[in-house]
Amino acid sequence: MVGQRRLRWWAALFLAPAVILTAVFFYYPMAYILWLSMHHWNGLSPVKPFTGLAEFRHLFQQPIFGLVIRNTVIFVVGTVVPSITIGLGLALLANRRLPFRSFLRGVSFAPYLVSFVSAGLAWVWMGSSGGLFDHLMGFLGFHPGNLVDNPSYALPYVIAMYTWKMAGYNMVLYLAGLQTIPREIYEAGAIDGLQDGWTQFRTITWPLLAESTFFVVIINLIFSFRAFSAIYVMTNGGPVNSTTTLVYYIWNLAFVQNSWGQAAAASALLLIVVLALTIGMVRYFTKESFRAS
Amino acid sequence: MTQRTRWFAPIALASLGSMVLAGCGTSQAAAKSSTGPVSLTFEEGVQSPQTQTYLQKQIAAFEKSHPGIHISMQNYGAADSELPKLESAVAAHDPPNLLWIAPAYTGQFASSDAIVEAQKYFKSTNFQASSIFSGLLQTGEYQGKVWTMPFDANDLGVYYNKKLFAKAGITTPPATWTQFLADAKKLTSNGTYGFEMPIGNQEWTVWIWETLLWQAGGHLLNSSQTKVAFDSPAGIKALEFWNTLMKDHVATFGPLNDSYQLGAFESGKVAMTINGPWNVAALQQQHAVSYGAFPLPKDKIAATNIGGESLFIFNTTPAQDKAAFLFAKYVTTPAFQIGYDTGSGYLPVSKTAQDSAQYQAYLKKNPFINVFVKAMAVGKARPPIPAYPQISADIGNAIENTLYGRMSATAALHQASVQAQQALDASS
Repeated sequence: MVGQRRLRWWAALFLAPAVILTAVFFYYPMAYILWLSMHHWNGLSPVKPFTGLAEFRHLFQQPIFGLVIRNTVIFVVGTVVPSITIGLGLALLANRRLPFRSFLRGVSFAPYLVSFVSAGLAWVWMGSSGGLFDHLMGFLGFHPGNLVDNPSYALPYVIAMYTWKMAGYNMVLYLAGLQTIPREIYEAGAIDGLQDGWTQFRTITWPLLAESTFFVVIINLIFSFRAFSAIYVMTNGGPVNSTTTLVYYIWNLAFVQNSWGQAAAASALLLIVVLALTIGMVRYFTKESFRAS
Repeated sequence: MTQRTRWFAPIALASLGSMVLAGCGTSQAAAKSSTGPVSLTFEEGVQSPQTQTYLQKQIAAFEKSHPGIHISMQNYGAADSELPKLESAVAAHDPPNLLWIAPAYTGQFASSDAIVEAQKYFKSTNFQASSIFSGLLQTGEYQGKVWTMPFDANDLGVYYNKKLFAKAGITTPPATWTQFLADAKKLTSNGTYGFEMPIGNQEWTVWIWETLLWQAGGHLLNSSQTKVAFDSPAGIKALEFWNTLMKDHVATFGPLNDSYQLGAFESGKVAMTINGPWNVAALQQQHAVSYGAFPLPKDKIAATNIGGESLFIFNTTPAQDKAAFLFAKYVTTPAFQIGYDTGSGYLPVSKTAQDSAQYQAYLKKNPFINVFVKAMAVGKARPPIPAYPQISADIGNAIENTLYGRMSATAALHQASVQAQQALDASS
């Protein structure tokens, strides 16, 4: 009895740092955002009058709000799908006994190590009028000019940069997953007649990678929803708001327009969307991996 | 062992908690309220090292003439990154005593009780407000009172490439919109454009566009500052004039949201660009382009937009607030202004400084600066109301939508005015 009580104290002690840090830096700000989304605040004033759902209403009435949602969806889908697909492809390649295997791994992972700010600036230069991309496209008889200043190309260009950076990261995650698959399963498969690579991949590799895929999809979704620095450095959300995603818009509302209530409302919205997606993913994948095993 | 565990765990818990709480405390607040000599913190974002050195010297001179006041200066870099930091400092009751920043933030800070009204010290310190240019003083007004003190001034004019003008056979710079358009056409030829159009939905673009709104006879707000007024025939005319320059292919976009950069002008790719007097040192250092400046062309009237920085005095202790005002007052004197302005390319804030023999001699040597000094006579200021940043963002979107051909000037300005009105109503 005494021993158990003592154990409880020890448990509390070891949990305390994590609990306190999470409460102060995670749950408190989250609750504060929800509270703030129902108040009008300019970022400085000691008074924050209660406005109910007015901040949400003003947010939805913004003429660019629809565009912001559209950009966010395009950005998230446009970065998550290709960066995972390319990452998986690279992992499959890097998992084989190829010459230059370490080189391939290094080159693919290197972009992830560069900060978004330096990579973003480099891509701005490469995408400028007369820059690398303009020059390369010129061989195909097409001069796109300055990519980041063009409302039609700016978003795809930022997406390309983001995918380039994240693919190597996904490769590493998948590579770790691939190496946990025992060789015996492939050997057993071969005895059962699974000879060609595609069937092997479909029936053995992919199902056994379900846990990696689960983690990769969720982490990429969250990263993409929160992507800010690439957009800030490359386009400032422009031109004509064509690269303004929800997170960039939140920053703009808060720090440029001083509409903290609306910014909090937009943050609350983002929180709900990401939470719902994550819960959906967890449900889907727990079922899926259950079936696979 | 058992004994020790019993008391150790709760104490460890409590101390962890208090460590976290201590991080949120205000450590400097206590130090600031001490009696005796007054120490002030002064945060500024002055870019040039020479001007920094000059500021240090002037602070030393001020401290000599005001024994008992000590000022420590700190550079914050770019204003965009300073504001978020400042907002947290105010929330934590630990702001600087003095802040050098654009007066456009006056309304936001004043309405939040973060800063002290400067005007309440005018009488007791014998400050002659009439010595300051009135348009400049208005940039720091909130609800009819002066809250922030002018530090330096600037405005907008047109830079032009003298060689390209001579090549196009233009002898006198354009004085009206019509002449401007005609000259831009003459200046445009294989790869060179007549004018560099500022682009982006941020303040730089909007700041320039407002001069056209005023030149066409329009206003940003009504006189009581309760209704937005830029959605007017004058506003539409101003936006359509820019649109014409683009559609006629006599103008090219500047760098998105960075159109204050001079790359295209300095490489001779554009013949005219709108900018301020502060680039004088940079222009003198480059030798590729022979440059000059002329006043912004007029339509119905002539107008330019007054900018510059002001001193914000943050609410701390009465002794510190007053000492901070004394420094703000010192900054407006010719003793400070002349040396500061001739070194930096900024314009004087007072007529006494401008009329001084020393400054006039400087202007004679620098006709480029003189263009901007003269333009101050037709200078107008953005209203420093709390909702200005939102109104500016709405106008910025209207400009982009029009110039990128997404909307007509009429529709874009109408949409912007609905949004801006909503922001104005919410802030009052």
